[in-house]
Amino acid sequence: MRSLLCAVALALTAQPAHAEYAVRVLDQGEFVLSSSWTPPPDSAPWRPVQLPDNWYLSRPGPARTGWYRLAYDLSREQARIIHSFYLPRNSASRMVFFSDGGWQGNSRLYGDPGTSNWAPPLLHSIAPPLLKPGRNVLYIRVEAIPEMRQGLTRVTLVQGLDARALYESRYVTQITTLFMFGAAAFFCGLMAAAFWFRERGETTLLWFAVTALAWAVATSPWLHATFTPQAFFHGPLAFAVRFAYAAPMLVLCLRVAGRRSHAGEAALWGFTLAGLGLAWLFDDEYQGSVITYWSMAYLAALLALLLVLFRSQRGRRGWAFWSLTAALVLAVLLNAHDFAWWMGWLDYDSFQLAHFHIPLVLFAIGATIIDRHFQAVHAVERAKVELEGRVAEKAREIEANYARVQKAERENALARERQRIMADMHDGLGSTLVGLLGAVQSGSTSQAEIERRLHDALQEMRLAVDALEPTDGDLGVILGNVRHRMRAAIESSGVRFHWQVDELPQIPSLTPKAVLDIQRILLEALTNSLRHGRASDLTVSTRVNGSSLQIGIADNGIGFDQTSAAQGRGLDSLRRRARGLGASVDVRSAPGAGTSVTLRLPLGAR
Amino acid sequence: MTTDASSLTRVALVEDDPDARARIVESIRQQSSLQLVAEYSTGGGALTGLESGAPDVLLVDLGLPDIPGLDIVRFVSHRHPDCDILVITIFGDEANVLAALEAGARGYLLKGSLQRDIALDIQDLRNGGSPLSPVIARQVLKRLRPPAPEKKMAADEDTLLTGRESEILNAISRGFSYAETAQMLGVSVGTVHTFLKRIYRKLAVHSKTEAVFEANRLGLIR
Repeated sequence: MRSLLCAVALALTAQPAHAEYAVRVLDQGEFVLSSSWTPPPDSAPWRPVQLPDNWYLSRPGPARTGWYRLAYDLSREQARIIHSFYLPRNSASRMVFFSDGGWQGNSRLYGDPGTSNWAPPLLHSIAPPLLKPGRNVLYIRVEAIPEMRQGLTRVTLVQGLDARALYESRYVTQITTLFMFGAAAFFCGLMAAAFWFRERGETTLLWFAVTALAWAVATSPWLHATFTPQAFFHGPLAFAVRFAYAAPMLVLCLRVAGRRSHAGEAALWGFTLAGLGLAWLFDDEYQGSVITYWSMAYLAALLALLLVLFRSQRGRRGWAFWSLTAALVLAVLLNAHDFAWWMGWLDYDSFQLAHFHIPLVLFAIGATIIDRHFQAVHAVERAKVELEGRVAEKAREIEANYARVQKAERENALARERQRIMADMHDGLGSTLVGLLGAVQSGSTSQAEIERRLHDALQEMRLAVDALEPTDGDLGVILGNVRHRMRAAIESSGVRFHWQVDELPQIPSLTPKAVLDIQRILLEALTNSLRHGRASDLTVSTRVNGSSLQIGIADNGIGFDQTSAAQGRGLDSLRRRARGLGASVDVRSAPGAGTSVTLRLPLGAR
Repeated sequence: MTTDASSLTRVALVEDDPDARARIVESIRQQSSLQLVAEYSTGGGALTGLESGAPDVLLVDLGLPDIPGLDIVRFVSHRHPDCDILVITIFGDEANVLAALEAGARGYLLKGSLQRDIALDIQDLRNGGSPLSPVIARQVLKRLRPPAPEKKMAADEDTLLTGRESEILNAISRGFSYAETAQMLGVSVGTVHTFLKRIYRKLAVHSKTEAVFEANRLGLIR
């Protein structure tokens, strides 16, 4: 408990004593041009210098080496505490630190003085043995290329190890984010490349992949800066990849904006290839100019792109458009910031921020591509649903039409059949039955006669049914059927029956009504002959004569007088039926000379 | 019934209409060569009665009240292949007769025929088959006509018409009698009857395989 109280008391008394020296920014010093490896003596031509010292502004020209001398005072107590020097950016090709006549061997250094790209911060500690009460001096040897904006930043002196926090925050902003973005771009690029591999037509995906991967490559040399061979990675390659990601990105933005200008894309590729070639050709001294022109061109290209984008997609600006626009605006601002720094218009110690624009733009473009993809998918789905609806509707319509037509046809056929049956019933069966009824009522007709007439009625009905059978208009079958129906009558009459029927043509268009009429004519002629002819021979013969068919029914019976009225009625009904068929009936008979009935049926007429 | 039992044709009848039944029975009785052995007024009764044994000739009305007459035809022709079956129909229309022939019937009897004709038809049937109407002959011809040679299949051989059978059916479809047909083809009437019996059998067999045949034709079975 007592020891704890002592510790608290110590801490309270110690704090005010150190407060005034805790952090001190060293922005005044002296400079001398010298390539010596040890600090130049006091007799050297030291000149006062203001920090930060940007050699591009203060001493332009070829690469040189010089020494800075920074003096600071320490109290006795302070000289016993470890101190750190913090530099916000490693701003020279090479730096070596000396502390007041002693080599830096005993001190610890964070950050890599060799990494000139992406400007990491430096932290440099001095152990108490190298410190003394009163005046201390820090010598910094700097090798710098003025064209590359090298020189020395302000040096911040921090008592203790608190400078670590300053170092970390600067490092995160300048370096860690860079690595994160690089890794993210690498995976996004791989994914985009994989998608493009499946959809070769989607060049937007290809450009996205190229841009992202080029950017990932651009960041990779600094993942382990101390390991990479400086001469190659910090020079030509750094420039090459700068060009490699810029052009595809601009092309990509153009395409996403809906512009596919071949001339514009060709110009961008020309610019890139020229830049690649130039970057490899120029020495360090000229690289500064290359960067200047490159940055101006890139900034101009970004601005132009922003203009193109803003003039496109009027009327259908979704969130994808606005996010891409916002990303490009930020890209312009960030690049303008770094360009201003490069030109010396901003404080030398400022952050370098341009690298933030790449992930922003890539994100916006990725969002646009995904947005388009889903819009396309939704459009296809909507179209599919609509199409299915239309097809179903069409199918229903066709079905309904078909059903209507079928129904109409059915009704039509039914109506025709009804008509036919009505007519038949009326003419044939109806009149036969009425006659029969009269005969039965009068009681004058014999049982045998009634039976005969009933059989005739039944025969009539069977014939009507036969007419509906599927004969396909085969006249041979139609004739054959009449004989079949009359078989019993013919056999019981005892007449010698001669069936001289040839192969007959088929008339598929023959209607059941026509079939029935033909059969009735034949039936009637045959029945007449059997009942009244008293013949010993009855012949049915056929002859195809040009375009007509002749069917002859001839007997050698008693014949009849064609002028008699009773026979005339029967003949009239034969002729009427024949006329309905477009056919004609020719009857020849005379008493004692037999009877011959000839039906002439035109072929193909029905 | 003093005549020699073996020469008598034993006839059974399935008919629900009492008047029609009485007429047919009467016409059978009048014919000395025919012997009525059973008469049924329902299909169910006929199926039970015909289970164990069948007559020489069975007359079946197609329009029975309880079960379709065709079922009885099918049952008996399967059970007793030697029994000759005649179906009784009013019109002798193609659809009914052809279905009956396919079910195994040998011919048909017209309801309302003169009694004399009924007996004649039965005699015809015993002699070789009842007269085939031209319409039905044509349908049989169409149904059993061999397809083009390249489409022919071995399995069809026993159910399709030979050339001679086609000729006979063609003549009948054009109205020629069996005797005339026999004369035209230079064979005896008995030969024509034999051919007809074979055609009837083919029709029955064919109808059983028709579903398969139809599937073959449509290319459903390979």
